[in-house]
Amino acid sequence: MPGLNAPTAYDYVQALYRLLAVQSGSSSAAESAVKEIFLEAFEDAGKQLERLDFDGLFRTAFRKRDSYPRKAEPELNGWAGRLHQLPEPERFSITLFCLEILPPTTIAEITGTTLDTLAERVAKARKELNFHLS
Amino acid sequence: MSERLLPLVRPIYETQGEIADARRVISKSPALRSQLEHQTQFDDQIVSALQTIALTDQQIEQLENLLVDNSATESVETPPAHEAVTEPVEASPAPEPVPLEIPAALAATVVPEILTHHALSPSEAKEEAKTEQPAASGAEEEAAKKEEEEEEKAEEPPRARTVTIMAAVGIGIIATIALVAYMIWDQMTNGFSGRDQVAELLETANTLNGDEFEAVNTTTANLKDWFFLKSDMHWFAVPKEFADTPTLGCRVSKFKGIDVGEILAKDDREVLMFLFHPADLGVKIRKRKWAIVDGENWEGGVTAVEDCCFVVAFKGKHSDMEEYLKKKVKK
Repeated sequence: MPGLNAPTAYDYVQALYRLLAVQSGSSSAAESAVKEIFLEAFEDAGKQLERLDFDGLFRTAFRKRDSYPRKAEPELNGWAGRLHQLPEPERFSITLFCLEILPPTTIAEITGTTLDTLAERVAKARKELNFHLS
Repeated sequence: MSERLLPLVRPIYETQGEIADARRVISKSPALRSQLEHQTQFDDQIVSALQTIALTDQQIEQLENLLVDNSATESVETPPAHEAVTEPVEASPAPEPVPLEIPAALAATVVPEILTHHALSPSEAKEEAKTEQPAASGAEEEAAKKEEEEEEKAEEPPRARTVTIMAAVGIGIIATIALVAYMIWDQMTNGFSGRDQVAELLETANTLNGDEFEAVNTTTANLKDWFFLKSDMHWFAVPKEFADTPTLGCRVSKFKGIDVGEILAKDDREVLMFLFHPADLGVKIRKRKWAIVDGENWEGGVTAVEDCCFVVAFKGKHSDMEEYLKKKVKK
């Protein structure tokens, strides 16, 4: 079975963009937010990319999660659009989980919770996305 | 306890501590296993949808430039002329709205220099710094080296130079021949025409959950009549190594308009077998010769038996399939 490989900076940036796109429901807002969060982290790392706390990018995104209210008509469609309509913290939890960039223990730590609670949130999100186990 | 973590179990996370424990517990219960299978399929759709959202190369480049500019503004050693050349980001025109749904494969083709630099570990970075250090050493050393080189060149007879050139050309020719030989060998051992079709066929297995199969408990060698009755597959044949494999279920599916026999079987491990008439999909592979096809999620071992192309597949790595086939063919 495939495991989590060491992601590159490119992977982190794309994952952050995907997360922010789902949260904001807008490509331009996501792009600006990626720049803002990435630059902030870059400054904090003394402008040295190898010192940058890449997990911290998602910590910042979680801290700012409430700045992105759900839009009645987001730019996103399909599953991304349905994810956008979820309430927080379920929206953040399931999106980051499905981005497959961080292990669940790190996601739990970022969202300030335990693995059990994270599991409950992800399960609740699936339920709201109309997932029914047959 | 571990069952509570079922919502967090995904193949990619299965090596992670508590998730691995949960996976082990779940694998013991058929009900939980089925629940997990449904869950994984559901999540796969979300994962795929998210992967279609991506920053374009242009946007990544802008971010890269932003970092470069940001570093440059703080640099004391940067000459003023260089600063004048570097355009401030604020002055650049606002990016055009870019559609979110961009094929991920396209976006991943260009990996920006700065943003991939992170892949270097700190120790590797130090090594790089070390290699740069001698180059920056004093002018005296350089001058001494140059003198030495010049002396050596002056002493070197013209014949020696010719020999050096001939040796370099010779090495080049040998390397080219070796490369061509390797490519031919690779084509002979693992290559066959129609590989793409088999890879595509393997991916059709992603949507299967087992319910599509009709329960047939026998061995693969006994399925000729079953498939003949279902779809006139008179060409049905299985390699002798797989003749005694116990089967769980069978079905006939349509792939690109042709009938493909599919068998769910289990011996050392659960495997899926595909059987089709090779000419129907433009597949040409030597009989009794095994080749491995790497699908996105599935690995396939391919061979031809009589007039039938036989593919045995499972989810795993290339090396798993190699080992599996080695073991099977030995038997």
